[in-house]
Amino acid sequence: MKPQEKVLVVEDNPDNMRLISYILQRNDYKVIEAMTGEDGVRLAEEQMPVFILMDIQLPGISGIEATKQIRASKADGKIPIIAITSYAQRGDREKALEAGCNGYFEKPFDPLILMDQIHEIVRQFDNRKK
Amino acid sequence: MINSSFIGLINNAAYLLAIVLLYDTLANKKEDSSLKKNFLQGILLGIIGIAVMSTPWVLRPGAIFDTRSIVLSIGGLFFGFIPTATAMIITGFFRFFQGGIGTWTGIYVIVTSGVIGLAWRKTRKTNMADISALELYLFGFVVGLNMLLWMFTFPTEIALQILKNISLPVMLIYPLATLLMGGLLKGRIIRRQDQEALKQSEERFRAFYELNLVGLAITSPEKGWLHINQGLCSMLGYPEEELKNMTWSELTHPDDLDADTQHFEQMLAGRINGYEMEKRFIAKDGTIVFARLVVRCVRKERGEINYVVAMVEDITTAKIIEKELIRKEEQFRFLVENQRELVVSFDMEFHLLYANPAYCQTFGKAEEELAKSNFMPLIHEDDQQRVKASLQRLQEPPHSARHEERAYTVQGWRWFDWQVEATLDESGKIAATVAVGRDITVQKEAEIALAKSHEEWVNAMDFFEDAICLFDLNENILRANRAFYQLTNTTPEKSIGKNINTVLHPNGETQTCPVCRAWQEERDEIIVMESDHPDNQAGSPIEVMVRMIRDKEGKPVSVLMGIHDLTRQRKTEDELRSHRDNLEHLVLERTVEIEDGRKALINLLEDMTAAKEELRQANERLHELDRLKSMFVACMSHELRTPLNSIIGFSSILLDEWLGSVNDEQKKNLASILRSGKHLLALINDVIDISKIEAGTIEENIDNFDIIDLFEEADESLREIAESKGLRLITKKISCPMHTDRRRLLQVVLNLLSNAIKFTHEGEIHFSALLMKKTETIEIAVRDTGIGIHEADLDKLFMPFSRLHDSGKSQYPGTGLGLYLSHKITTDILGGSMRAESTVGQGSIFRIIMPINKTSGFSGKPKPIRNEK
Repeated sequence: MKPQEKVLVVEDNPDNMRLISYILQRNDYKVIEAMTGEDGVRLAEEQMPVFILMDIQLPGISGIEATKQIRASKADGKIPIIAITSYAQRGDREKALEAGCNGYFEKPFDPLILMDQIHEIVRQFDNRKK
Repeated sequence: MINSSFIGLINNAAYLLAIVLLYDTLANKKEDSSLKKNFLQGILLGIIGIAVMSTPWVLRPGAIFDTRSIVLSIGGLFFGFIPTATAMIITGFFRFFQGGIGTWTGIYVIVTSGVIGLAWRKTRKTNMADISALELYLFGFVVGLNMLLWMFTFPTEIALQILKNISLPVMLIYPLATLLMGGLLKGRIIRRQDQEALKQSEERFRAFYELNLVGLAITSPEKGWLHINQGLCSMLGYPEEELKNMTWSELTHPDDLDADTQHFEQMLAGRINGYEMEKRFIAKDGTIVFARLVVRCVRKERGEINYVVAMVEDITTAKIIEKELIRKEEQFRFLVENQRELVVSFDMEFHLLYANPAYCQTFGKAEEELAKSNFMPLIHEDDQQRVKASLQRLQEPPHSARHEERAYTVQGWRWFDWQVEATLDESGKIAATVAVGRDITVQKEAEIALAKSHEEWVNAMDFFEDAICLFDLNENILRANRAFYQLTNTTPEKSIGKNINTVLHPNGETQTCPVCRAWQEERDEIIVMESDHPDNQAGSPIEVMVRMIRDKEGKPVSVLMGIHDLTRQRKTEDELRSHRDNLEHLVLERTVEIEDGRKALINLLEDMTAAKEELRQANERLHELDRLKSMFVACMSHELRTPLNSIIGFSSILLDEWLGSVNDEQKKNLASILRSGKHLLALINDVIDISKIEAGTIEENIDNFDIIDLFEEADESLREIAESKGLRLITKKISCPMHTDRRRLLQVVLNLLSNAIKFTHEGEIHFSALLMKKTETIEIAVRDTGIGIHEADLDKLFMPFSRLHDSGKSQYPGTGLGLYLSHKITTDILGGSMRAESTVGQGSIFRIIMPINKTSGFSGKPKPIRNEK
């Protein structure tokens, strides 16, 4: 029984937060919640989670900006960041990747396969880190 | 008796000899053949005869014997007629005077003895000095014999008796006495001859000596100078007295002294008796006298030098001449030998007698080879005739010739200029020829090159249409080209060297000609005028160029004139002028038209500007609209999706029993919620897609994939559903690498397949693809055995919101936008086309035809990393 790994979720919609938490907890992750971008940045540094789920549409600083700040901090390179996007406009995807995200998925997502998708991204990230 | 005969005769003979000896010593040394002398001689002889007759030996009374016959015969032999005759007379008379019986005998003896002597003298030819002892003895014998014979004038008896008595003594003594007397006389003659010879020689010598043809000196080792002749004195410039005080060495040039001294010492030593040498003396005034010296010594008995004779011949002049000659010869030789020019001498058969080193070098032959060799073969074939002809001219005055020829040298063929001089002998034939040759190859080649260049110039000049003429300052034509001759209607022969005016103005009007004035005033000028030459068309326009050719200092040397026919030019000018007028007229017309057009254009432009402004405004509005639309889409996208996330998400996890178990009733309800949520999502996605397509803001994601994977994926997605409806799904997969938007293609394919499944209740759905390599397109076909579509509806098929069937009938959501969107995606994104065929009640076929390689319609965007398969 491995110890619970921490995952940071940055999402302002409580319903979404709850949904995502369900999925993560079901997979034995400890969820650290951040409702704003600034909190997300701070908690990322403090908690050093195994990965971060970042909603792009956030009040205050955007998910993009928060990602950039995290990448600029001491968490850079160590933690995969996965963006949650609405995939609304052209360039959202690119912006996220440019900012430093290692993957993304769109809303609405299928909760039944989300975890596998996340794991895939994390695995790829770890392979690259090596 | 005999004794006394002997003694008597000997006595007589001795007596005779003594007298003769006396005569000899006393007699005159000089030989004088004067009459007087002869008589005197005769008398003397006579006296001697008398003397011997005076001491006769008497045999018998009357027989007197003495040596008178010897006297007379010798006299006749040695002294000649007059003395002998005189002596004969004297002795004859004396005998007569003596008397006795033998008188006449005695006289006969006297006469005959004399005659024999004279006869003997006459017959013998040679000099009396040469008379030999034998001859004298013989003579004496004959004379004695003669005398004995005369005894026969006595009566025989007496004669015989006498003979018995005197024969022996006579024959013994007479010859002897004759011999002795003759010998004495001979000796005398010889001595006299010697003396004479000596005197003569001495005379000659003295003459020679005093002639001063040469310098002569006689010296003796002890006494020094014995004699010096005037010749030597004047040669050396010293007076005799002074010269006698000088030594041989003092007079000799220091450089010759050693040789001279050596010779002299050898002579003193007795090894040689004399020497000859050429030496230099120093004259009194210091000048050098070149002399040939001959020295001879006269020795005494024991070999000591008695005296030395030196003969000195002044050869100064000769020497100077000799030196000059040598120098001149050397000079001449040097000149000839070192000449670069060839010098030869040859005979009239073309054999070389002499060739100088330059010649030998040129033809690469040694002097020995060339001597006597024939030089004609060395000359070029073509020139030989000419050379022979030239050499023939040597026979006539002035006996010189000159020609040019080519000869084969070590450097190949070269040109030579030969100057030949011949000298004649007395008979007028050629004695010697001397020829001097110079290599003129360079000049000749230059000549040839010049001639060639001249020809080229002529050819070049003739090429020009313009007439060109070059003439000197005296207006004499030097050169002209063909055009010139044609223009002035002359020929080179008639014009070269002639005055230019005669050619230009054959009719003589030179006064008014501006061209002539130009060169007379030494001006460069171009004159346009009308030709006044009678042979040209009257008044034809010409352009004459006059140009002074000047030397380095700018002085005119000659004049160049060019004449250019302007007729053609004039014609062209006229044509141009008329064209121009034409053009101007046209231009004027056009200008009016243009002006009208311009005005119309300006009006148009104003209208356009207004329209543009409207357009711009409309554009702005459109852009604004677009922007709003995009905002709307973005907004909608986000706003609509967010609640759906909750709907789909939560219903999903509840249904999956994550939060506890659910009963069937709950499951049904939850499933309903989930289904609705997904339907709504599909609808939203379609709407957003359509709006993006309409706005042209759709994104394109080109992938490289194989169509076979896509087929598999589609098949996998819908197989279950098809089979659950009892339909067969036949998928004909093919492999083909594609380069296009995979996601959209899948979307379209899924749409078509799901439609097919939806509208087919039984039968099969056939899903295949066909590759068309030539056009690089692929045709994907979905065929069903469904309900089909009415023909009238086919047109509206791809329009939005054209629902043909009640959606309630199908189990799967249909948005009504499906085909519209699929069609739009196919045409706009996949770059292809969609077609539908159908027969009601039998089924439908939907085809997509699209390129395999879709060239991107958007500006290049970086390919994103996808997390979807």
